[in-house]
Amino acid sequence: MIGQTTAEGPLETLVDAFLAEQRQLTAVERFSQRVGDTGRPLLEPHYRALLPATPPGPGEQYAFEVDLDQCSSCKACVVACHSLNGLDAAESWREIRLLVGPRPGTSVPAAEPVALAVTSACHHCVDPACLNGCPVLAYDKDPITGIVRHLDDQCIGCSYCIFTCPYEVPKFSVSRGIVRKCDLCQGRLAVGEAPACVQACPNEAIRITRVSTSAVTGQYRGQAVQPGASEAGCSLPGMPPASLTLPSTVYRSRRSLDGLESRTLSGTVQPPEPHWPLIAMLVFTQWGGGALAAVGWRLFSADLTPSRLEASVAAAGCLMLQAGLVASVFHLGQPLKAWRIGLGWRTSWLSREAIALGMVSGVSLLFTGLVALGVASSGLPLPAWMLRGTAAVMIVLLILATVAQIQVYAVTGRPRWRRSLTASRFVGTVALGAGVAAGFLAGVPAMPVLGGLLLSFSVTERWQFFMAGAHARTPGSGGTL
Amino acid sequence: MKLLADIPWRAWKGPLTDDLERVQGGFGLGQVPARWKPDATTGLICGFCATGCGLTAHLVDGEAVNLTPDPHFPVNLGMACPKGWEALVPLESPDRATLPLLRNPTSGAMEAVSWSRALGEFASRMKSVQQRHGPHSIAFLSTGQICTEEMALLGALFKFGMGGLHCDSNTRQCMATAHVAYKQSLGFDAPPYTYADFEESDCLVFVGSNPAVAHPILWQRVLRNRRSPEIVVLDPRKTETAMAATLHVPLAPKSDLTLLYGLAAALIGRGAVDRPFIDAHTRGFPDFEAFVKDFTPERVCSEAGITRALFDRLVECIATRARVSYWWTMGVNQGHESTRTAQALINLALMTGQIGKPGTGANSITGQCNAMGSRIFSNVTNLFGGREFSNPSHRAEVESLLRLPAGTVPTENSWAYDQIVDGIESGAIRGLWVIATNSSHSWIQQSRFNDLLGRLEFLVVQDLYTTTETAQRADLLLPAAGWAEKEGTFINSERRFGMVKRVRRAPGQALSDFQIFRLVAEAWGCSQILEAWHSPEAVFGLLKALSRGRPCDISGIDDYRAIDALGGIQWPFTTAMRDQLMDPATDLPLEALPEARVSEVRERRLFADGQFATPDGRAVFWYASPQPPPDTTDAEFPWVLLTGRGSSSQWHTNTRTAKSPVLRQLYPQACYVEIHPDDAARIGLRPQGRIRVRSRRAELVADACITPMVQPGQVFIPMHYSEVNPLIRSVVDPYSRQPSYKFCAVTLEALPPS
Repeated sequence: MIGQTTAEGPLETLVDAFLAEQRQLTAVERFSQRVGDTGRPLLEPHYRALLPATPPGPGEQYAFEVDLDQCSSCKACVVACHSLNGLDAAESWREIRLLVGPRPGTSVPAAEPVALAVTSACHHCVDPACLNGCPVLAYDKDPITGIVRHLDDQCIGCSYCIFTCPYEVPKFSVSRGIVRKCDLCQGRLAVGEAPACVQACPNEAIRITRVSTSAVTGQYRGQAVQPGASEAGCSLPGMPPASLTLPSTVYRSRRSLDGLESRTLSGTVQPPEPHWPLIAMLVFTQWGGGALAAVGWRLFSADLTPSRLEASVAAAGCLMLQAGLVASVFHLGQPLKAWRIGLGWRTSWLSREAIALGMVSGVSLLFTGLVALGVASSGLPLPAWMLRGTAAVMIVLLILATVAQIQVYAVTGRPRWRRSLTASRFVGTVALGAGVAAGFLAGVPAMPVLGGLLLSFSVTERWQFFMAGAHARTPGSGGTL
Repeated sequence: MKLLADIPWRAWKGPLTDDLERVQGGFGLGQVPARWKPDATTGLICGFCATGCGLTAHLVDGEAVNLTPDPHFPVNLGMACPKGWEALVPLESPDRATLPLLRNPTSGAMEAVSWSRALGEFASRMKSVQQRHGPHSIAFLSTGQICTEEMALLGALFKFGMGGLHCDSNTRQCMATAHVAYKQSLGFDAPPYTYADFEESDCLVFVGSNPAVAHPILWQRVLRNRRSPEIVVLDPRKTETAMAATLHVPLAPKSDLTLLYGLAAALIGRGAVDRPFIDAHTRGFPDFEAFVKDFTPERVCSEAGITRALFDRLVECIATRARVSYWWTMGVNQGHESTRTAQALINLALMTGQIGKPGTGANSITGQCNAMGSRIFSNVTNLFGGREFSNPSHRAEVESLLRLPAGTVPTENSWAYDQIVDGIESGAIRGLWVIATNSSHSWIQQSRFNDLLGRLEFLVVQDLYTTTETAQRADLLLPAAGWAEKEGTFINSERRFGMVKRVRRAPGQALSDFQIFRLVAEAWGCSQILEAWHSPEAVFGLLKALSRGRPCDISGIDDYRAIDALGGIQWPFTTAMRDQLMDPATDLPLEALPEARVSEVRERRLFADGQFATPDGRAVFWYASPQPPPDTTDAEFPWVLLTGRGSSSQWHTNTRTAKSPVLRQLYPQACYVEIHPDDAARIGLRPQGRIRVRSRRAELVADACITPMVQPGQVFIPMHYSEVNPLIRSVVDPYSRQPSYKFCAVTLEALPPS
């Protein structure tokens, strides 16, 4: 501070008194408490008609129903979700997309709307991809309400559900190392209160309804339609195909929205993440796996005594593979819970990948050990079938692991990760690893330099794979605004 | 097996799950986040717009931990827009001013100083300016965002204590037109309506108003109308409101005055006027009737660019529906002939007798949370209580009520905002005090304003933040406490007084504007004349006395507790009204009024008896020939740029709303320009392309948003993006001196995507 005065004049005294007063919070004492501590929520009369009178019956579940004609784009639902659920500063489980028209080459009749806000939360899908893909069973679909709930303490923070959900509903919380998402305010519904967004909409545009799961299935399964393209005549441009997950949300509008295109608000757009631990994991496991397969195939098919060179290449491949597995742990928000990764094997390709890679890891260590033993003792002290058998098992497991790796991305339904593209990329990378290993084994000169170049190519290729496919938000067809 | 069963295969509970636990909050709240379970609640009025929504603060140890809309409050009925829900968050921003900051003349840097040093600098440098350049060489620019009592104290301090004269408020940018229009036409700045009129009208005519986005909670009231109303929107742009309307009239920009006169002529032509009302309660109708004869449907339709069928349908709506109400906002107020345009609406209500009855009125929807406090009780443009500085008996009344020495009240009117800015240019104003407004962003032709700030000898800014465009140019920054960190009242659009309460501690040494003004008085040496102004509630008592017998009489309101308990109280609320509701002999406080009687006074409108506040009790028809906008389009600048609110999540210069990460997700982060698809094709705009927008004064580059919300030949940019302001020509309405932000000739150039 400059120019501090030392004398305590009347002004200083007044300042001190005012500063002291400024810190006193006296509203409770000065004003009467208008509402007592008991009783039903004051807003109940407002939202009672927006909730179903009875819980879902057999074959039914709860769903959001949004009347787009009633929405005035005030966006209070987004902020109320944030406030009433005590979410983080930038966190809300609702978001807004814009439909703006017309699409180039189309025209919108003068009477039709040309800009609409579309509010969306979790669609509590009949066939939830988050749940199916979760490797640790951190999702639960309630058998009665159909609410898809996320178990925050079960989550290992692998973020795979963000990839599998076509709507990218789960959001990663960096500070917690897990994802969180809408639970349809199930605790509120259980006691007859409305979810936060339903409570907050000034125009009663969001309500909770019961839908028949078989009707949702029948409506979308095998159909290339967008969610909500229902008998109510509402289809939402720019949304992913509903056939992927059978979303339960019902959008209603009496108007035609065909000529509109979807725009994402720039404030909700996260820059695409490269996912470096995943890049390292995929490149190293595929290169290492390719190298191991090359050595394994040679020893399996030729029945040779392993050479020092083969032992070195096997060791290098094994090291890469293990390094890739270690790298994957860095992708997790909750690495200490990584042991749960196999729990979801019944439905999750990520679980299956992890199990296959875990087995590959063990067998590759055994294989490399056996090869080393064979070199050290100048001739295998064990029966030859052991090495051949280990090599065969390892190669089969490597194939299975690669198939699982391809499936992990292919099942997300993202166009840039479709099966053919992902398979050619991943198989190509395994082949590169195998080819480089073969080059070393064949004593091709300058192989270290060539190998290094090819490895950096693989890393670049995989970076591009994630930047193109793993956009944290899929921009609307009309771009961002 | 036992061992296996003990392994937590699926963790249904745990610390992360507990983070999201919700429990019954009590106090009628329903479930709330467990960690924010309140031990008490209290109500306060939102500090953004003039809708004046009641919010419930969830208190723990007296401090607000969360907010929800108040279901009991008659304005918003338990609803709020995103700004209200998120109103506590901007208070927690790291760029809050926590200590007075003084610019070091050598280094140019702002350095923290003690309050006494800051106040000493304030008094000595302002006085030095006055000594060298005269007492009127200092000025202040204030706001519609602080409490009524704070505005009143500032006005008294500056004009009665500091010897200043020239001062204005940012309400010049939003409500000056409505103020002048009402004052001339009805005799007092008296918006006649109550929000129930939204629900009780058969035909709501919105002119230059987009309540769906600008006043979402008022739009809620419109949607609650069960009378199958016609909702008519006069707006060049197909706004969110226009899309929801039953009739959208996309008139050419600034053809509003012509169209409204044409409407009057057509209504007269088909006899859809209320002659008995006109004869009994108005003055000047015959001349007005003769004047509008020239505004034939052919002329009007051609100038407004609408079809005859549309015009006829508009006339039909107004002529045939029983209760017609007119609502206007900035599309009217911010124009080059805005006062006459607002009065054209008042004329329509008067000539059809659509005023003073449920569902009727010529109704200005106010902008800022306390613009009305500024209009009536700030002692800036008007002497306290809507009095005139030029009126000797008004001055004597105020001097007597406030026990001021005779001759203390200035006899001259203050300069308006634009005249103060001109005064800086001419050297007449040398010291400026800016309070809770961001002129460097918002004042018309901001670049000129910002250049002129360099000519000041002393610029003091009093604000919550160190980072506003204006605060960054200050010589002295006084750290102010914000909304919810202080006490006082706001007056909303329907004349309702509501409470603001201290439910948050201000950071560091920030003080309420009220206490800062008292400290300035002390440092200035004029605190003796303000002895009675020792607390906000004491000032409220003075305002009651100053209002007595005026149209804005609030002498019947006991105190703050009464305002709080009754869900806000509309002015007027006279002593006679109080005595009617509660027998004075009972000696009970007004807050004890039973609910059944509260509802009698909850929603009140003015002029039910046809008696207006003019000297003869008659409302006056004001009109003038429409003039073209000064910033004309031509071959070089063929497009018209319109401005307005972008989204419900942005407030004005975004000083506060940009602080909330959730609100930031709800609007485009970069400046964008709406352009019609035909125009986009005409300038060769590519998908995701950008546009250079150039006016005769400045240019900007913005993202393109191709949409038929705007008509061909027009583009729209929200006002919240600072770069749009320099494009607009500095034009003010001659009566209200409110700037015209709504018409700017520009040319466009397509740029490739960034």
